[in-house]
Amino acid sequence: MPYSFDHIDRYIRGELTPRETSEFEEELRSDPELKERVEEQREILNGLRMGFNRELKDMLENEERRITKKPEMKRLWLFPTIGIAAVVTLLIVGYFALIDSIDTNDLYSKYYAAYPNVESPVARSEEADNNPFNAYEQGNYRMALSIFQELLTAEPENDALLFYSGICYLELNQPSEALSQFEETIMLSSPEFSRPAIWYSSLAHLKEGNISRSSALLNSLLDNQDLYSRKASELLDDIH
Amino acid sequence: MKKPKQDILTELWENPNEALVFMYKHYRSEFLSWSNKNYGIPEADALDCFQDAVIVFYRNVVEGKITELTSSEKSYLFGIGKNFILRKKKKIRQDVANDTPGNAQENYFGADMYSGGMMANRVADLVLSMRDPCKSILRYFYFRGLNMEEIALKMDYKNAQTVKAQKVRCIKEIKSLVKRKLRSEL
Repeated sequence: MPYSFDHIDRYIRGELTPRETSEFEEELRSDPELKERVEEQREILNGLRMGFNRELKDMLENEERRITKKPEMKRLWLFPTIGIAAVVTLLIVGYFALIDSIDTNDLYSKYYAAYPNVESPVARSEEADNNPFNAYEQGNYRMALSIFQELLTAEPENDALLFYSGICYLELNQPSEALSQFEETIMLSSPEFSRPAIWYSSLAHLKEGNISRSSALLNSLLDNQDLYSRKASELLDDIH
Repeated sequence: MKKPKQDILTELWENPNEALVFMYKHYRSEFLSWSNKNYGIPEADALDCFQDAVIVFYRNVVEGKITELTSSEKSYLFGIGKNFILRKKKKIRQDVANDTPGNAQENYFGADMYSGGMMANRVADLVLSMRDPCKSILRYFYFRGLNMEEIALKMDYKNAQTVKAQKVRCIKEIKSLVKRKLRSEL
């Protein structure tokens, strides 16, 4: 192939000299394969720009949340000594502040359910002691997690082990650890676990109160028609 | 709040995140009252437009569309914001006319700065979970406009050539990941 990645890159970014550009465009007209490479590369660069734009948008949205941080009214009932009149006043004032705020923890609880064990039927034999899926099914997530992690040292690219570790972390209330397991699952493009991992990542972000990240992931689930696109659109409706 | 530094353009090149947050906080309330007075759009929509305007301002600086400010940075920024507001108002009118609530993605992002073709969307999704060195190299080069020498210096690489080779590897990896992903969705 006569044109390097770098040459195409410079063409897309408008960095070729006028002469190089016209030469390149002439070639483009007669070479459909080159044309396809250029289109692909353009899409990738566009995607990168969009992804980095999203990061800036996230940053500004977070800043906005800091600016308009709303008082957490939910916990008031914990303080019975506060006079009823004060509570009423606060509720009236707070009501208006709360109308459009979202309780991310409530949403998390509404949508979260541990992923079922579809990997390994639970055996009743003695060998089963070391099967993390037994522990997983019994809700012993700490034990399951430690076995998953041990197995991962031998097979670091095992999508099922990564994914189920993520679920264990969520169960153990450690959303940021869960996120890194799900990210690795997604990076592996696991056919079975990628979409579930995106779904649970969006829940983990929700748990951390990061609505924009959660929404971005949910939006990415909408393209396919499956269980996850339906769940995602339902949850997005609740968020907005 | 203190006045923004005179050389906001230099600031945006050197410390984009801090400079952007500074700009955002500095003009936010003025933009809100200005947009409310002139266009009467809901505050949440105005904030969305303002955030996009701040990002576009930055993109224009990096892409060399602004090399010096002929008018004040405020009027430039508000000018971009105005375009976003008009676009949003038009979209709201269209949705009402068609009686369809536009797709969720568009509602959420409000502009094509954040979504595009199928492959581009997949790449953008990957950015969230991308790791270093790829993420930093690609961000520096394609988004912050640094050249290879500058990146080598910042990231402690031997020279520009090494960075360049690494960048090509990163793009190849993204390409094959995204292609596999798209194939598995067919």
